[in-house]
Amino acid sequence: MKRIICFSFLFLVTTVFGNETKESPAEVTPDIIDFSSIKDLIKKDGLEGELKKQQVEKQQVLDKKKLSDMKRYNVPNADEFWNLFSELWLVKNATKLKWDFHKPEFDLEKSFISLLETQGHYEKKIKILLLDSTEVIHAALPTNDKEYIFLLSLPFIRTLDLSKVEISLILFEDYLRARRGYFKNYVTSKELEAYLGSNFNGKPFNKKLIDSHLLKMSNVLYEKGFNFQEQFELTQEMDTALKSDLKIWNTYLTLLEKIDQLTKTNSLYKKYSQIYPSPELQLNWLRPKPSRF
Amino acid sequence: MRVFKLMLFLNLILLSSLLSAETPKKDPTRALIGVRYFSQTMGNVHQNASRYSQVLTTISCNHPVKILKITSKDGKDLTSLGDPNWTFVGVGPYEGYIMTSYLNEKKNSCLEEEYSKFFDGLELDINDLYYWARLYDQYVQDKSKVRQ
Repeated sequence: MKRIICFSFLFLVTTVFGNETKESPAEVTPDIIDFSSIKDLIKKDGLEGELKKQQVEKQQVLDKKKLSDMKRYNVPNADEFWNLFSELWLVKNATKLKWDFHKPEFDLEKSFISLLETQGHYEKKIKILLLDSTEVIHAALPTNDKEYIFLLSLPFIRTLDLSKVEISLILFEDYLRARRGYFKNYVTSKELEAYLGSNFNGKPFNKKLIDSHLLKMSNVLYEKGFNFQEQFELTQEMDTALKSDLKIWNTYLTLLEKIDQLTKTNSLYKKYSQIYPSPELQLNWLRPKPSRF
Repeated sequence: MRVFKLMLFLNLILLSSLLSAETPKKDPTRALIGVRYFSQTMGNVHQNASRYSQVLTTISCNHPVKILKITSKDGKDLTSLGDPNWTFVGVGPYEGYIMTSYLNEKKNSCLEEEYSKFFDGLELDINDLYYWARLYDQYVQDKSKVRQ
């Protein structure tokens, strides 16, 4: 009997104390701090603000890194692209064009710059590349308006025995043609224009697009050339620009006569009239019309 | 990154040709004048002050170069040789000449740095890099003046 009373007492005690402990969990796990009770204190210390600031700064660093990583996938915009693209074309066509050769210093750049300045074209950077071939006789490659790349065949200059003024006039014609954007218009496409200035992060680089446009550029310079309308407009502009100085205008006329004669007699230059149609027509457009009286 | 690896490879090839080439003799009177940065896409350091002289090494845009000056015992400047178009420089283990107009005091805005992935995508091989550097040797350049 005594045993039963003793067990009952112990059971009662454990049940009562057991219930009490369940009601106050804080006493069971004294390590967990109730932050809600010290929230106001933290706020007063500015710790919460500091934490937020650190989180924002960390996020900014991550965003900046992400942005800089993304920027590496940018495609140059049109202003930067064309100069780069023209140089890439020159690099890829180096053996065909034969521009890497030993040549004398002609100081062509000085006479051409002098002509540009006389014509009021200031702050224009020019790069002239002489070719030891007749694959391209002369051309200005597509670039931006601040910098121009000119190609000029040395055999052509030598065959015609051109003076610096005459060479400058050829370069000036190419310069005006480039300014009018004829060449760029032939090479460019809507797809390329959309690609320029874009970002290809997460996508493969569109090398096919670049390669196909390099081929288009070759096609213009080696085969297709420019059309009659473009040549007519250009000749008109040359006429207007040079007319103020009759001496130089006559030099231009003589130059066209020389080129016309060469293209008709030398088979090496028979393609010239196909690329720049045509010296004979240019002469007709330039020469004063005979008066009816 | 790919471009830089190719550049390194190109330099190794050029090193072999350098072994047979003579570099300016070491002189105790040489002095470091300053540091400049290469401003074009690609370019060459030549053994002599000529665009046709042997290429010692090829560098890309923003590559830092040391401007050096060697003076003889009697105080004569042996490096400029009176030609302001060329500057005597040190690039890594090489000492040679580079076109003065291609050097800038400050770092440049370089397309191959700005558009590094675009350049990688072009998949330029060693031949292309060689010709790109040669292009800047062969260009005849000038600029029309500012409108008065």
